[in-house]
Amino acid sequence: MRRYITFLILLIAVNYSCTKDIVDDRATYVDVFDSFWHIMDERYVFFEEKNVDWDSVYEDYKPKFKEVKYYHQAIDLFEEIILELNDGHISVTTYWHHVISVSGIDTLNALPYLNYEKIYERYQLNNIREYPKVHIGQLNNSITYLRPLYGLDKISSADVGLANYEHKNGVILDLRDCMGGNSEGLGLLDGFFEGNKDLYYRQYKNGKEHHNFTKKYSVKLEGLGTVSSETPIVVLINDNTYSMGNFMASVMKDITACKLVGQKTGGGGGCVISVYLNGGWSLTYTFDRVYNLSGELIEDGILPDIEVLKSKDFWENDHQETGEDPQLEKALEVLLF
Amino acid sequence: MIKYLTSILICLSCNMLAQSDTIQNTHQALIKYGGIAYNNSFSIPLGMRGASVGLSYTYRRDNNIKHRQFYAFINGRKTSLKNKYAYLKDEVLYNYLQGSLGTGYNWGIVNGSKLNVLIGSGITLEGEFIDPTDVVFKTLYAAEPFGKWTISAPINVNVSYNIGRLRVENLITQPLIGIGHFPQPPYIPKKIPFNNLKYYSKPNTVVSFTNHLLLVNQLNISIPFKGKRLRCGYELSYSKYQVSVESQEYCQHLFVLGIQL
Repeated sequence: MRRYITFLILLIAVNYSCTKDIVDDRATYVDVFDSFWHIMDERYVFFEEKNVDWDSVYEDYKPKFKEVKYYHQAIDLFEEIILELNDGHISVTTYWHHVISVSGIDTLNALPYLNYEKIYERYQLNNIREYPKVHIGQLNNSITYLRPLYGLDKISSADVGLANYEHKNGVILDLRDCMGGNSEGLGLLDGFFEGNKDLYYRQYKNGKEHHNFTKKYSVKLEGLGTVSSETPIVVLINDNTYSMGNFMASVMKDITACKLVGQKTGGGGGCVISVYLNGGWSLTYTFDRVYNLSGELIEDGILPDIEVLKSKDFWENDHQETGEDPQLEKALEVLLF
Repeated sequence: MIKYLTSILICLSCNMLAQSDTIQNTHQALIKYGGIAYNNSFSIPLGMRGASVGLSYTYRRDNNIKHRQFYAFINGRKTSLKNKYAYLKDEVLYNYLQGSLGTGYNWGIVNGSKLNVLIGSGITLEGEFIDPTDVVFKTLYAAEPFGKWTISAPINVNVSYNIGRLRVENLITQPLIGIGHFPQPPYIPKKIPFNNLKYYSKPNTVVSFTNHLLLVNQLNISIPFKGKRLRCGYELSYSKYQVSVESQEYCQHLFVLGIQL
């Protein structure tokens, strides 16, 4: 009996010692940095494209984090690293829910969001249906206007009744200010083609080295053919077209004869995941790479076919007051003339 | 005729006696409580701890002449994973659900009055799922669930030893070979829209003891009580796998109380 009790105690002791290796409970600022650096090192997919020497980031910042005594000092250091990475998909969230991201730091150059209420009014968009993540409406001259919003999830063009809108003279797909969403939001594009088509390719990490990647997997969608291939299509893009919006612009360029009008998209070519770091902080990072059908990465953004640039001052003042939208006007011009 | 009927009755009664001596049916219900240390490379890389509760039911049919045991079982466990340093530290961040059911045969290789050793195998379906709670969605931008299932043939080693009225039993199981679905690229569907059920029900991995360790050790002590047996014990599970890019590791310890009919 004594042997069994000894065996039982031994089992419990082994169990408790092995749990220490499974859970990392450390919580100093340097531990937070360590966990951030290691997870990124093994999982992040764009070191080469961002031209970042991640080992030197460790060598430079580890001693700095060792000196950190106060919360704001840690935030300052993370801001420096995130600016160096310059990836809008990466963010570090502190224990107190302060989010450190490029868009949060680099606010000076960011474009203001468009005033869609004024745009709809000025350009007489009618029969508007405002779904939670998609707006659809009718413009004059038999043109359909379709606008996916941030956070779009699993959807089909049939769900928003694309077939019910007149599009004899064309369709405008407005991806401006579409900052992202779920990859299944691309289902909205099923009205623009027929048959089972490849949309884009994805590639994942399959090892700890920065160059360890899987093969490319194609992502397919069954088209409904609601809009005929002869119908002219314009896709509006701007600097705030990011992530899923950027995917959509790339897909439309590949699978239709559309014209991209506006400004270069903000980029974002991958999907993100969030994990807890040490000390209750968390990290959101890109864990896969998206390629267009020509095999090019779309992380850096998509260039427009017709560039329409306006000053930041115009978008901040004139546009906000009047709804004037030179990019939409150019789209109408492309479709009608 | 009377002789004939008498001989049938004698035969039947002998058979009944033999049946009751050779075949022994037992039903065992256990309740389990303990803790876990868990990590996976995909969504919980630094690991979390949690409290687990579980229920299990096992049916055994022992043939004492042939020294053969048929068994069937069903297990379910729920664990609430918490992060010591999460903003809402008392909140459950992930629900970890584990379930298994299986059946098989064990054969006696040592059949003594005190010491018995049975070894066997069968088929086991086991699955597990880690689901982020609403708290996680409030604190993380893009939280992802994680899970897997396997159908495998385990090896069972059951050693029991009688010390007076006490019986000490130790059962070790480990899957030998099987198939299952493990998280691996592409995580996002190859097709839009994504049919979750179809995707996750397809096996994508052959598992064996080389890439999938799921070692369960159950140590039980049982004592007779009003014609039944009361059981108490300790169950230790250690699991580790590395399939494709992703890995998972946990160590789960459970204190067990139950009854055997």
